[in-house]
Amino acid sequence: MREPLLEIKNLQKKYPIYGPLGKLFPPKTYHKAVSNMNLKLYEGETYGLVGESGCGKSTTGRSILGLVQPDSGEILYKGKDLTKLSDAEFRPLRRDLQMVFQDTLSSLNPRQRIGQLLEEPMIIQGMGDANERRQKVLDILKMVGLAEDHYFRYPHELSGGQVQRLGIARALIIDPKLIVCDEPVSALDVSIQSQILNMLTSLQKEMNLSLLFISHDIGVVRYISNRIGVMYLGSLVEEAETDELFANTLHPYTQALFASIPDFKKKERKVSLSGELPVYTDEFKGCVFHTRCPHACDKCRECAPELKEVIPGHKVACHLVK
Amino acid sequence: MSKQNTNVSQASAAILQEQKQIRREQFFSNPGMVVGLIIFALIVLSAIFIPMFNGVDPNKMDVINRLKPPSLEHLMGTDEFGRDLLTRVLYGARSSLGVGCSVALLSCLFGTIIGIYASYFKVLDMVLMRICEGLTAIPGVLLAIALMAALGASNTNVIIALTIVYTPSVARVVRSSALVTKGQTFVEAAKVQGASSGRILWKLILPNVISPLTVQASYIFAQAIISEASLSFLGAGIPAPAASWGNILQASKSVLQKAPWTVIFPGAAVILCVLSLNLLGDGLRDYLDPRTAGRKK
Repeated sequence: MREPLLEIKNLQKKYPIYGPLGKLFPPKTYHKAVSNMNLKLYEGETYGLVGESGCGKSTTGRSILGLVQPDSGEILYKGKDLTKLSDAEFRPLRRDLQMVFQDTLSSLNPRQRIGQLLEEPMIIQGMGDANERRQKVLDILKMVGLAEDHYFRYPHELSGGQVQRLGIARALIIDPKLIVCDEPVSALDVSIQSQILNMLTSLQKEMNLSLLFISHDIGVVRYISNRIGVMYLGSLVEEAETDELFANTLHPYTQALFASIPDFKKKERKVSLSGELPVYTDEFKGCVFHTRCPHACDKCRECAPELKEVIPGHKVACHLVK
Repeated sequence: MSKQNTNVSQASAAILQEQKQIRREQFFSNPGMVVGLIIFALIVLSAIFIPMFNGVDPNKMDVINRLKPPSLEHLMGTDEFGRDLLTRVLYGARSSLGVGCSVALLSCLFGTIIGIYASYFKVLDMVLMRICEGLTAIPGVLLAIALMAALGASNTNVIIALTIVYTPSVARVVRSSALVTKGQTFVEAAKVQGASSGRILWKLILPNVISPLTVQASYIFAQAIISEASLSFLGAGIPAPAASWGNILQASKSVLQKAPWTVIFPGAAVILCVLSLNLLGDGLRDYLDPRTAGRKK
């Protein structure tokens, strides 16, 4: 058994829901954005996390980097629980863990030139002297397909695709081991998407990176991931290697999700989901998906299924799958 | 490596040149700011240099020639003690601008420190903002008069009193735009890189607060000149016989009908100065933001 690079154990994060008078009174109840999330990420792999908006995939990604403080659970990296580290203890580990943001332009300081922007992480991490850093910036610009004379440009002077390359360059510049990509291509048009995805995969091989790729776009995730985790209402409902998941889709939610991919050949859609994610409070009982599941039975409304390995490497949380 | 660097420096020279060019065009495409800057510079330069060279004593009385209308000898006429009004207005500009400038700088300094820390630390925010609210609850001029009464009339005390009056408003402006900046993704990105809170505050948030701060500074500069004039007008400002725009106006109010020029000229000086500062501040706000600078080309 391989040792995972990063392991998330029973992660939980609740957000308060206030009554009509707002924060004057204690919260009425809590919405569980992430509950019982378990995930293992191995070195050099791309793990795709899919799910609809609000299912907690971003919260999971952001808690790895300490941008969200989880309520309970562990995130183990190199034997250390990231959720319990102070800022100072976390700082050296941040060299290994980086993030690419969805809206990259707003993740770049508008007042810094690109050269400074890329140098900043190295300065913070205390890497190299001024000359080495400059050389590194120029190297990385070339690696992500930007020109050297972008060095003195401001981020707003670049196009959308170039900005995304820049965002990736900034994550790569301190040689991380794991990059959390939070919807990195969803703001780009399709031709640019594929460029960026190809670049990511080739850089990943070159630098032996692990990627946690968060997206709502199944096509993109299928293209880039080795393994896929399908998330619904705060936890994984199905997890398998990419080919296995598409060949042998077990969970009703995953089936519905795949059926929602537009297909020109078939006019009719087999399964379609209606409604939205329910509010997941402590009173919520049963399987997370039972409110929208076409096959829900009494058992599903009573107790929640566990994520079980039904076929080697293929885990599902559903009572109906034996 | 050195070859690459020369390539970069060649390319970069062109880009920097181009960016400078855009900045220059941007500067001149904003007529309000250019006009404001020219008027303000003229006021400042004449306040500094004319009294140095013409050697007229602003306090020299000439009772025979009192309340003379403007003439070649006295370009702005004379006041009720026969003092040359032009010289007094210029000396008044020195003290008024001195007060305005010091108040603007000091209240921006303190206001920025308070505002930025308040935006970042919640407990501090509660304490500092309640104090600021308390101070803003009292009308500005009233507070200044009360402070002047407590401190005693002098040039320094005017500056201290007005700084106390204007610091809360700077703190509020800085805090609110710092809060906006703090919520932006690039601050999160800096956290992901491991930046300390000090670095985030002063290297990320401060530069993004500068443009509203500039507007606020120019506004306070102008307001402080007016407030100093009102304080002096009410007799709580810079004490006579030293000239300031406010106490020239105050001394003139009793002879307003007989010698209107004693009010018109210092009044016009105040208006011109405040107007030019406001034009300048408005222009600077746009000019200092690289995003609008890029878009306008």
